[in-house]
Amino acid sequence: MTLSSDASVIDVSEVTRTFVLRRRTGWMRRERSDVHAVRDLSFSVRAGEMVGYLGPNGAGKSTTIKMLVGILTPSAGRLRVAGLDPSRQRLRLARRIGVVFGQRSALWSDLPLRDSFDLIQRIYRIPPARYRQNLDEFIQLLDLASFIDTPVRQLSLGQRMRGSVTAAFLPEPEIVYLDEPTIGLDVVSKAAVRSFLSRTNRESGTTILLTTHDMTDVEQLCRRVMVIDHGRLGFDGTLDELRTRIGGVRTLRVDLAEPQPAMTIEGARVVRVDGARQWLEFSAQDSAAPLVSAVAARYPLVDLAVGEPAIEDIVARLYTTDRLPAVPPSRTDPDPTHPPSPVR
Amino acid sequence: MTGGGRLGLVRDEAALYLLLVRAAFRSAAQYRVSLVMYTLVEMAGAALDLATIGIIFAHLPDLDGFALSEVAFLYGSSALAFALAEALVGPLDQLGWQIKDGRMDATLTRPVSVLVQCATMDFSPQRLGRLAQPTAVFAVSLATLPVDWSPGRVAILPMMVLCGTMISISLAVGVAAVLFVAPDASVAIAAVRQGSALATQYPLTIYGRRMAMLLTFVFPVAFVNWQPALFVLGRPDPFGLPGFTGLLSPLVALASCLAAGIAWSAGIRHYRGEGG
Repeated sequence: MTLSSDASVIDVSEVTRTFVLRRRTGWMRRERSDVHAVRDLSFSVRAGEMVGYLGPNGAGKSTTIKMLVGILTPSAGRLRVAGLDPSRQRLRLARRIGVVFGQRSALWSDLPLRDSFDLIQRIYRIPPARYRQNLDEFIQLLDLASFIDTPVRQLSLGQRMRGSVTAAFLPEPEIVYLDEPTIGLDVVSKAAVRSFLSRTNRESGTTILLTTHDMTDVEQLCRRVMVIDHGRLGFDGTLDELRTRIGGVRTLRVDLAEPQPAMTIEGARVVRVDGARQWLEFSAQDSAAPLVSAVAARYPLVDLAVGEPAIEDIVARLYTTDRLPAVPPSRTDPDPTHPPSPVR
Repeated sequence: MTGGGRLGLVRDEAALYLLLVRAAFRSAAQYRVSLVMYTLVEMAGAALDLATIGIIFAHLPDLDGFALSEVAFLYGSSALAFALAEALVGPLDQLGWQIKDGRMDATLTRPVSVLVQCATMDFSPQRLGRLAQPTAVFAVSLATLPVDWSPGRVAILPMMVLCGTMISISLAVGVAAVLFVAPDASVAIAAVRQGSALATQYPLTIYGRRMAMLLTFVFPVAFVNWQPALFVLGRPDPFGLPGFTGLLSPLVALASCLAAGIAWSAGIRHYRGEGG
């Protein structure tokens, strides 16, 4: 099966996943309630895209990925990955996709890392020559040489993640899902994983969908960003568009000599106070310099930092701002037959 | 997919089973001390099992009319079938823990059937070691049974072990399927599995009619050893079931495999993930 570059490999259409919660309300009484982990979700991803899937914890990111893998069956809606129905054809689909579930490793923890790779070669029937070539390349790109003969349970978090990423990409899957691939990783491992993902996406055309809480991941890797919260897709477009949508704010973090009530400064708004530390939001178009001097003139300033808003803040703003219009057509999507879904 | 159709699929899964068993053996070899400890504990447990029967017969001439060699035959054939089943698929009630700590998610992403992965996950040499005691008891009982070994009776023996193993595997798989929807039920599932193994070690008459019927028609472990054993021993069914009932084991085995397969796939389909 060949895929042209503009064919969609992931098609999600009006997918809902409901969990039934049973809560004990009395001695033998139980209350039943339905929770929508994902609600009316629609999007499509074209072959070769690298998409950042963002949202706060419990927003429905993992549920979406589990449905795309076929682990969870959708309660309603239609889902197609590489032309297959994931939950019905899970085993067939498993040969064509790779999955990395955050800190939960799919490696054989009591065996040396290399043994896990050898097992994967046998399970996925990777031709030996191809396997050796890929493995050599991955060892170099992800710097695995120093610990490839160490049992997985003895590896650091970053080493284990580099091992898991290798394991997911060794069979040369068409699509790879990564759930929080950089969370808790040291700087070296983060950089190695990012450059590996970027390179594989570029050179092998692997479609990649990743969830992350790390803004740097998104900035360096993802041309397209999808934001989900409370099970609904709230944004689908580029990172710049996302920043514009939420009003293009930056934050100024100031450390004062002693705790103060929230300060009042023109052109900025205090969004958070924590002891002597305060966070101010200001428009991204403005320079930080006048704001800093205004603060310094009136308050005993110890330290400060200017930052881009964190993903949590962006998402929070996205969902608390009423003035948002429906999702505009994505600039990265030249195909008019696959417009991103509107907000429901 | 390579291989042709269903048969190719079975062959592929069998190859993967052996591959994963070898990997589990290498993993187990990392913990030699605990392997030795567990083996010692299990040998003690197996000895206690036999001692129970010994104690019973030290006080009673027979057990509900069954002589020592006959009880040994019941015990040996049941223990062998359940040990073979556990050697092949393992204690599947562990599944509940794998679901709760999230390992099941990773299991479901691999292109290997979930049953093959669960059966091999904690495969240790002990599982094979557990075959020794039942095999010995079964062999000794055969040598001491006061039975006229006609070809028909001899032919029943391998069928008994094979069907017993199939029924025991079905029972383990069938009840473990519940864990996909109720992962907290591990202990209850283990109790059902081990309880039914334990129940068949003695003549079913000691439990009374109601329990015996439950073990015949609901959890059909009576067909693991009790029913075919009555045929081999040339005894009429104490509960009045017809004489050919003992020969129905293969049918019961096939039916329970089918039922277990249906339950297992339904379980996977209703899997809710570790968070629920």
